[in-house]
Amino acid sequence: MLELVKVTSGYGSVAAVEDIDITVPAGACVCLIGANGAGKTTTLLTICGLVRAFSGTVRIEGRDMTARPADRIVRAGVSLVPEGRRVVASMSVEDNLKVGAYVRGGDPAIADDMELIYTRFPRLKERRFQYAGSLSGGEQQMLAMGRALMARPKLLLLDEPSMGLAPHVVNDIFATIADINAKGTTVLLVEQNARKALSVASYGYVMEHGRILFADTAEALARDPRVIAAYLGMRAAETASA
Amino acid sequence: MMAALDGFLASYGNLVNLCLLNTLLAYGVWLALAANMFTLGTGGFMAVGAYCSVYFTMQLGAPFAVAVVAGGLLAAAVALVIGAPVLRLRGDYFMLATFAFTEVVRVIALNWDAVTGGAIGIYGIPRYTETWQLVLLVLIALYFVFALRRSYFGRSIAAIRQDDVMSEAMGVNVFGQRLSLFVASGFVSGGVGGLAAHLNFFVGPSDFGLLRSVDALAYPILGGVNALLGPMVGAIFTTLLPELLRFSSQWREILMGLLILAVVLFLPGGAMSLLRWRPRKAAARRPSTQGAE
Repeated sequence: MLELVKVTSGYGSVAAVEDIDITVPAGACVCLIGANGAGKTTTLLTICGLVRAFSGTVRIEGRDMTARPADRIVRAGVSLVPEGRRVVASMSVEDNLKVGAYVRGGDPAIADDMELIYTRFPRLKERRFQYAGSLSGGEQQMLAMGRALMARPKLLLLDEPSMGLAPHVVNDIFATIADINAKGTTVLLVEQNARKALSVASYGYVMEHGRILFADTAEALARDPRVIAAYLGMRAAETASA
Repeated sequence: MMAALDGFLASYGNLVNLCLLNTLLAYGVWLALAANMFTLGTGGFMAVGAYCSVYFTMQLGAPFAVAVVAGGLLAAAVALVIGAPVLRLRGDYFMLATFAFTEVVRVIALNWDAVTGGAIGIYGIPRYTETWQLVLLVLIALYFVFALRRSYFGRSIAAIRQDDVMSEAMGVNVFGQRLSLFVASGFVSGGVGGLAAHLNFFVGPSDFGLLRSVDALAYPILGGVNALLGPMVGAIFTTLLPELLRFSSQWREILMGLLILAVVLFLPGGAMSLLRWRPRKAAARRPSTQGAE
């Protein structure tokens, strides 16, 4: 589904990620874990075409999509749920969802998909005419996910979906991610909450300082002493801050 | 009834025309503002449209409607050419670049004597612009903006205004949309320039400078960018204010400045946000909208 080959990318002349190789097979749920500033978000933005790769290749379903304009990438079936949710605060929930379906133009199936999203997130249906800015953090995360799903993506990119949310809301969000994946959408998940990420993903990449350190199945990573020491060992701190 | 209207127009006709013309201009600028483009190029586009349409009527003997559309089209073409590089700039740099454009047009108008009459300008332009035409055009503009706000395109513009990076991630072609709005804004401004020229008997290089651009930008901002009628309210308010403040002679400019300052400070959503002070319950029941902060 998605393949990154020796991708180097960043801002201005500064490389934030270097020489990374990532493969996401169709139907899989793959996670990318690592500390703040490891280059996880830059990797996602590079896939989306919002940040230009300096070198290397991004392939989507076998086609070279390196540094294509962002709208082409969305049309190719890749949607992003951005970090910090970024819903349009002054628009209603429903209008936010409609913006998500923008690339589909006047597709008559949009209304049906909207109903599907409302079935998945009943809270959004209750608040469909409310301004998105008046939603809680968890509801905004649901809206951001619903908005991305409105483009009918084959591959869903999620950037820190747990950020700033209460633990029980995080559980809901991750259950939803697992369900979206089970229904056939490929998922690439970026998370600082490594424990949660490894619980839904089947495969994981560990990033540090802009490079992939190692990669393995999610079960193996969860047992890997390096991962435990660096990302899972801080359990106390993590729960305290969540 | 008709006699009363005639009498009213006889004494206030100029002011009515000016209000209508500025309303039209306000919607032209709104097109740019709707995607967060604070353009100071309006004066430049008006000048292009004005000189072009005057050339069409006075030199080529073209019908008035053709001349105005030609002025609009030429301004739109210019917007297309300068839009491509200028739209890559953000915020204040975009403003500076569009301001530079307006200045360049002014300097060209000052020196290209054969077409623009140089510093003296062009006198004796036939008066073709009629009040009913302006009313009709304002109605068309209102309908157009009304329909635009309800369309997919309109929603994507509202999304761009809030968060252009996110919009791009959603698959909105931000650059393409900005460019088409900028061109549309140029078209309207150019057309208004042509209408203004055929209303005032005269065009000169100083008619469409920085001041005109800033005024035009102030209309929709003062009235409210998010409300359909905001640009119209802002344009009429700003046009009538100097007349209403006539009693205060030299104090007029100061009072006007203070009023504008008050609107900006206390009504950041524009004058139209006054109408949105209603009970919370009613606001929550209101169906799908994209306006108001």
